[in-house]
Amino acid sequence: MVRRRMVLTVIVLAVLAAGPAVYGGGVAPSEPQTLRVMGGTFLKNILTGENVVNPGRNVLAEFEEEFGVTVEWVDWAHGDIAEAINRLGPLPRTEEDLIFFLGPHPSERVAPFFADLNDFLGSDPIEGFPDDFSEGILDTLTVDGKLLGMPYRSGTFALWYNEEIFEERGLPGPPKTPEELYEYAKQATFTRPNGEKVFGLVCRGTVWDLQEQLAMWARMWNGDPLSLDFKVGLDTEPIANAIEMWRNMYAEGILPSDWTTLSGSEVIQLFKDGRAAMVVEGANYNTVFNNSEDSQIRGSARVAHMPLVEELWTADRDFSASFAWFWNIGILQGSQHKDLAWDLISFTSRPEIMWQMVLNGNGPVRISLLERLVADDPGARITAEQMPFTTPALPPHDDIGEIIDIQGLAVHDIVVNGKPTDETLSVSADRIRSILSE
Amino acid sequence: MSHKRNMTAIVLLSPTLIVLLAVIAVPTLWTLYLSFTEFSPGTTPRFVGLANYTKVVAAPEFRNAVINNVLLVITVIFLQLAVALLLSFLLYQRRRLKKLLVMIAIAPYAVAPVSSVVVWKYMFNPNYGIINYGLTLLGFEPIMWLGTPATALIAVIVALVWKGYPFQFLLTYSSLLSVPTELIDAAGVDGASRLQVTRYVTLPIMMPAIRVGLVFQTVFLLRAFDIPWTLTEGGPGRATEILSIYLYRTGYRYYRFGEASAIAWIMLLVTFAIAARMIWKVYRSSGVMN
Repeated sequence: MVRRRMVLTVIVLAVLAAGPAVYGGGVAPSEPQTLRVMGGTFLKNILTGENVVNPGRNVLAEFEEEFGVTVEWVDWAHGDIAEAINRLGPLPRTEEDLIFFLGPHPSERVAPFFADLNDFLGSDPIEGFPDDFSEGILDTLTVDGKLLGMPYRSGTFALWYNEEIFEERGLPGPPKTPEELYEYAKQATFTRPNGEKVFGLVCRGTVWDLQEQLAMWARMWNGDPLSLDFKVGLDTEPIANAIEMWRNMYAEGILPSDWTTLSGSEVIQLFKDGRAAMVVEGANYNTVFNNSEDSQIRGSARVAHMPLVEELWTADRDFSASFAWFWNIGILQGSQHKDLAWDLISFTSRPEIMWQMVLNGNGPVRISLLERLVADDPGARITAEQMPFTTPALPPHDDIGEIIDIQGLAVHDIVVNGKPTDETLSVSADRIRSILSE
Repeated sequence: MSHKRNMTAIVLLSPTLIVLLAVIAVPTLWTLYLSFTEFSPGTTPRFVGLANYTKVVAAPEFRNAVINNVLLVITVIFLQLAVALLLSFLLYQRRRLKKLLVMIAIAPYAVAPVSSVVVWKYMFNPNYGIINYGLTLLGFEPIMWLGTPATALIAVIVALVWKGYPFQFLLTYSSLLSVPTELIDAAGVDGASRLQVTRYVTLPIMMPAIRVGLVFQTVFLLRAFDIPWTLTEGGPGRATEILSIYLYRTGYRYYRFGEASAIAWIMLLVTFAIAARMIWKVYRSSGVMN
């Protein structure tokens, strides 16, 4: 009798312990009129106008008022968003509704994690879609006819230089060839009387950032570490040229000694502080460099194309292709508020709202807005000139994370750890080929 | 009566045991299952036998991570113990402000690991970090702390020693306080020097506590992730990549959950083997097994 009672007690306690897990289903019920968006704060600031140089309208508040919704923003760093997509994507039910993702990365494997935006476009078309958007970007976002996301922010990278430092060091203007880039960077590296060092050139150097930097630098010699049709070029001459230039710059102190840990925010800060004569950064940073109150180089930041080897100059073009980047917003397939999520996408894709986003510092995804911006923004002019020639740094692939690591780690090994260039690139290229052939 | 008491104990413990089973045993066994499959999010696991284990063990990155891990564990444990013992003996002899100094000594333990790394990163910064500032004041050249393989590893070791020594210190200091003063006095009366008293009286009494600390620190360090990852992400190159970082990359950068599970199980077995041997030694030395 006693034993039976005890067994019964165990069962009751077990049910009590397991109850919340069973009935909660792992997801707490959410408010029907709350949208949860996952993305970096900088993506939110574009909508709210907060923490930007010239604050414009708060279009996020306008959306909340128009649709009677509260938008909850979950801040995530770049690299972590890919993790979040893979974690949340397979779930049948998520509290999160919308997620931002970087352009060239959606692959066939992750396509089922997103709702098909074509389903919404049919009944609620967006003005000027798709004609006013880049065909190349939309192609990358479409997997087997399914549109995974809507372009939200895009642009290219360019060469920014400090005109004051250039004049001080007797440099005539922006470099036009890779050889000039190296020479100018060398001449612009110096120590000020107060002991502060000025670096001739600064660019991002983390393993993650090198996916883009390597492609952009290799394109000065018309090379690509991995082309959009999956040709591995990591062991070719243009890549070796780019990495050896970094190695020389690093050894000579032209690049900062903590280059391998430098991400975008640090590069921008060095330039704004007058500690870098040249930086390779987003072409859309004119306001940040020239108008921002915390920029010590206001009015001295000039933008130019990335150089190109002279043999490749044509009548149309004497600059390299840089690379195109784009942020997109997609609806998680587990979202419980897909219609409301689409309302946000549709709202932020309206031409007048997108223009407000541009005024808040966004890189426009509509061709018409880029053309409108060209007159006032020299960076936009550079982007507009690059657009016909440029492509993303890497193609979409399931194993892109490993490929990014292999490339970036090879660069670190050559530049910092002194490993031989040809041998390191050859081994790394073979590994990428082996991954692609699996 | 005894049987009835046992049953009551089992009943009272069962909710906790069930929860523990759910949050530890189930994921562990699920990981074991995944380690024999090829699996990425959004796909169905496909059985591949021991392929993940052979692939992982054959990878040069794995060997590199093992070497880094061994180097890190040995160096950090030695340094943590040295700092803990030094502080214990210094504070033991102090009469004034002892409590305040003990609190200051264990303060690093109260700081969140990632927050401490943010501060360390600033301190290690080659251009405006306080460490290089101090070095240049002393006439040395600035060091690229996180920029070269050797110095990056030193930086990780320093941060880990700083964060982990208070745990070892708490054990060594409390065991030092428990040493009977009569024994020390008696040794003194017998003519033993201070060094001899420490060597032949104090340290042997402290040894069980030191060994327990070493077991825990070894386990903590074998699976250390937060500080090394946030400080260097395993770089430059793979110079500071340890097994936990290699696991993270494989699982959450490459989404190869099968291989990542195999790495996790190798780490688990190695940690278990080392910890079991150390615990067995602790038991044997304390006479429990006699």
